[in-house]
Amino acid sequence: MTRTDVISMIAMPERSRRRVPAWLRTPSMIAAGAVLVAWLAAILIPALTPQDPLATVGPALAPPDSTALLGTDALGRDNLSRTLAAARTSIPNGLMIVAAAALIGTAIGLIAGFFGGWIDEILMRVADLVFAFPGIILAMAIAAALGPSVQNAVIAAAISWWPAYARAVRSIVLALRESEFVLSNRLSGVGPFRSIIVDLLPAVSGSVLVLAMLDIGSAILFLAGLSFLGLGAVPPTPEWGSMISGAVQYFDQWWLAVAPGLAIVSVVLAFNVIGDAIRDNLEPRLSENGAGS
Amino acid sequence: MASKPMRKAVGACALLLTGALAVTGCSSSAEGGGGASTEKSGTLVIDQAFTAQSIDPATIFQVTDAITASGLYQTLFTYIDNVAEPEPLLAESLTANDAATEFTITLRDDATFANGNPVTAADVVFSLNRLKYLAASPAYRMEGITVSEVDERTVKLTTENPAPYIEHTLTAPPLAIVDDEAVRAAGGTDAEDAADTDTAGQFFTQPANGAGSGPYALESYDTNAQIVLVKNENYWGEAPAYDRIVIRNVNNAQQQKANIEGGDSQIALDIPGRIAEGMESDALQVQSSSSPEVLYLALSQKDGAATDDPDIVEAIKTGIDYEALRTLVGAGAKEATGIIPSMMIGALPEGEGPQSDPEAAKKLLADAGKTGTEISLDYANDYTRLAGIDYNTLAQGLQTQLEGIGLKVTLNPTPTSTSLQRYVDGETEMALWSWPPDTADASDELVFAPGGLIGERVHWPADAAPETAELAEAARVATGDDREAAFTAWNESMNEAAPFAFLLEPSFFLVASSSVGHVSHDPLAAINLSQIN
Amino acid sequence: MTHTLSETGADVQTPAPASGGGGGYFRFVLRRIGTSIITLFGITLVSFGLGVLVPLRPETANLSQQALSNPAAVAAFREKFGLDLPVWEQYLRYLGGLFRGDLGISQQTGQPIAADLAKYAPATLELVLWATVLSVLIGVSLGIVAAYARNRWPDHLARVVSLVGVSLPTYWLALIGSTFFFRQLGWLPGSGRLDASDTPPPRVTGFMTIDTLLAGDMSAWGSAVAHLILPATILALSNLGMVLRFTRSAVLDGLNTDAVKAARVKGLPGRRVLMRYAVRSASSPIITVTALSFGFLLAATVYVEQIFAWGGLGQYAYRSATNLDVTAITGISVVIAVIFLAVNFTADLLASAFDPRIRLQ
Repeated sequence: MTRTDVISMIAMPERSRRRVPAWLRTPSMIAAGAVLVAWLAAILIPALTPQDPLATVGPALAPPDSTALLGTDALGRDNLSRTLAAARTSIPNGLMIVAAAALIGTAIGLIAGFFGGWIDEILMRVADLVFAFPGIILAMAIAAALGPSVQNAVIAAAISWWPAYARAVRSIVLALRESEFVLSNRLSGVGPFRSIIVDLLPAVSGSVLVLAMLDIGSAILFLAGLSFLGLGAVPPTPEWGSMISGAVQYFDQWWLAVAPGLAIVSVVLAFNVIGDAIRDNLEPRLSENGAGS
Repeated sequence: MASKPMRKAVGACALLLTGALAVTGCSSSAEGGGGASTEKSGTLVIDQAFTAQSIDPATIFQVTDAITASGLYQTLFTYIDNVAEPEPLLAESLTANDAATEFTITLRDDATFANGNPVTAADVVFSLNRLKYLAASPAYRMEGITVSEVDERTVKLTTENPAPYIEHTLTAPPLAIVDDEAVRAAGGTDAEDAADTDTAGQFFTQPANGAGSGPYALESYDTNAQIVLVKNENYWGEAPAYDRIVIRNVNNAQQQKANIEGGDSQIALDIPGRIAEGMESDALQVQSSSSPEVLYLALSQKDGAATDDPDIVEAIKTGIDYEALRTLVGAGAKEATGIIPSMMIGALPEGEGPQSDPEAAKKLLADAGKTGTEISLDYANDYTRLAGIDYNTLAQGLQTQLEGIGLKVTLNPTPTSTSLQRYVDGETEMALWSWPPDTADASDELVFAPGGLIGERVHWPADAAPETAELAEAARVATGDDREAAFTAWNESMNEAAPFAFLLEPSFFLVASSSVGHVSHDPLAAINLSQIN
Repeated sequence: MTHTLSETGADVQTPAPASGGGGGYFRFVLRRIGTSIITLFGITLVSFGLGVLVPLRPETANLSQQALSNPAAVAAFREKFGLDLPVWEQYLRYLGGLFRGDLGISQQTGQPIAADLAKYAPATLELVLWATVLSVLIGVSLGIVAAYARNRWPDHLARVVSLVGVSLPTYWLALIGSTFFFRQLGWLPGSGRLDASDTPPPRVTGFMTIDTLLAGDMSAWGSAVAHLILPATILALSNLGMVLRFTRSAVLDGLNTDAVKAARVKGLPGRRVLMRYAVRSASSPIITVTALSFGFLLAATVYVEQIFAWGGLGQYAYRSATNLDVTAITGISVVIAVIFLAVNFTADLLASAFDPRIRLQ
């Protein structure tokens, strides 16, 4: 088996098909795609928010009416505009968490898997350690110590998330390390780092991408959770978690909690639906958890 | 009452998802619904957002602990209801010399501790000295005060400086009198090295420790969930009104509202005015009382701070729309007239406080070429203790107002611990705080004077405003009838010169079930458990 | 929230078949204990590392404003908690104490942290235990049904349930649940573990549902159960998806085994094959997922406790974090990690007992 065969088998299994594969055309995938496109539009086109999300536009805590379709908050700001604008904080930063965790985790997993021995032992013990550390507590402590801000919340989350990637990458590398194409390249004088970058990185990237896809939903939830606890986004920036946290004081103004909540659910659900489908169809190795294998 | 478990059980059964749990919930109603109601009478449930930390009197400085202490322990003097006038409690009388530096206190002869021991001068000396030498948070209250025993029923207090307000000081929870025998037996000491050698801290959290002379005794103390007091069977005074008092940690005002409306609690302490006002009914009484705290904006005079500029300070002080802030905070709040709240001597009458003129402020900035100056505003985003005011909302309101006059304001919300540390270290530019006074006497506000404790936090030393500093000193030492005029003069001078914008005087609201006969805030906005009936 | 990966490629939770025989339980136990100790040691190191990362000033959260401006009072506070020492020395002292079972003194409560944990852990464990039971009972049943009816409507329905379950923010669900069932309908209590009018039972296990029974107070027991329903259900929902999916795939794998195929060929009815072979072979992954659930819920409880004022480890952890009480955070982390490791360890032992194909290593 040649090297390119292996890579294409792992990373691009559907390459040969020209038309959109059937699993991408299911109703749930189309719906999820539409939801994400809608949110992408909300992020990219600020003009879509009917009002300035930071401006007072009406009386405080007004119920939904024609000026404010989803009512106003305690400062008389338009709830709909804030909910839409919050996507600009929540979604890109959720992606940041996953990207950072995937990057760190992949690097560590590659090194551990490739070199093995004591390097592997140390790195994986560290990964186990962070894994056994209750993630939310570590994140709370880091965010509290660094001071609340979205960046610090992203750092805190990435620190507690990378081990999952490191483990997955390491196990793939362990399987590939002794494979022909890696060995032959090594024998022909390719240095270890070049081997990692040229041979192994492409081989694991497909899996990492799929795993990352699956993680985006959870990452958005996690970030909003830290904001909910007052350890994430800083006012007046709208953010879903902190909007829900603010709504705790206003049970009677149901729109304040319902709007950001539904926004989170729609985005996270869409990412999860897509991630799920991608895993089942592109990476069946990952799909069924290996419980019986 | 019997209907309550039943109602819950119905809910439990209806919740399909909860499978196994629901079954157990249903069966409970049959067995548990009947007999329990009699033992439940006589329990008073109070919902409060906890700040509990310690119930050792010599370390108390949090509101929750002050409330608990008001049931367990007694002080020499006390406030009755919301009147800022100390009345004798364990003391019978107090006489002072003309200079207000020597005070002779006679104790009443019938008071006893829950363990049966009488309250004597030795207990007073022990308690106050232990407070002083334990060097914990409230120890400063004994600064410059010496206490000595004259005879079994008489003690003498001597102060370094005139202290015409000494009765106010003696009402404070940390100055509660505890039984010296019991506390000594538990490892307590009032020696000068008490900070290192006293080991009685844990003793006070033990149930029925008997060290206090109040109408209630401790059943359990949990700083996260709830504190339970039970009737002190040996109480020396009139029998306590309740068999049991439960103070629960309920952080959320809406939850407090739901609890008291559902009959689950009888007193709710943290329902903000805007919600409380609509709750008055046959079943619920709503009380508001003016606050001893003034909400203010501190403008640092530190070199390099954007606020270290008379134009900026002036623009902020006049640029704030106090009226609009008051509306934002809602019911009961008043615009502040200065640093001294209206309940204390020296307060300015309504309308004489800082005046708002955003247009003038905007022009001032524009003329000085300072439009667009960037300023950061620090505040504690988890601070809800001040009459349920949401600092997040208030800070964002201030931000909008100040941006209206041409300043660029960045918010810097952090948990109280971080935010306060930055303020104490003098690192903030603009900071939103309030000062919870220790007593209901205006002397407590002198910390704001130039060179005072709060003055230092904004880098405002005495020589920055010598006139205001002198007026402060004059107010500090004034006695008798001169005090009012002296404090008024200082207060006015503060409004002129101080780098503080005094924003609001919020109202504290209290919602109680009509089954509670009498309950009131004390002047420090806590409640006194021993006065509820 | 969770690491989605933990349900996919995790190679630690699922015991892998050992290459050689020999050694058996004894070596497995020793090895596990060894790695656990290293992990716990590392956790203390990471926690204390925070103090190096950022100069922490816990006195702010624990002293009055007057005292904070008094350098002597601040110094006394720092000395009392050993904060005046260099971080490495604080750490060594902490480790020294740890060996004697002393977790230090909490700066916020002034109580020994071990005592605080003993007070708050049972509340959390009770909640998490019930939530785990609920989510495993429902998730496993739905998972079996989904596998049996693969690609038919029950399977699709199960997929929807599991996707929606993992996509709901727990804190939001808790808020909505509390608004609806407590405030609107008045069916369930909204906070705490017991009605205030009920006398808490004498503390034996710390589990309200057990202690009230031991005390014979049926009214308090009913109240304890009623207080559990809402938070436990909400917690369980957040975890349902993982259990369901895990079970479904394990049972599917089971259905693909030769034994099942043979049984089918023999003409045994589908349902019996499912129950006798497929579910049995899926039992060890189900044990694993139970352990995973427990660990996940132990973390997710922070939000739920916050909204329901549960008074457990979650609230204690939140308060410790915002008060920068490093000693308490370390203590909480160690205890949660111990629980987590112990549960996994037990699960691995059980899994291997159920499924002889799995050897411990």
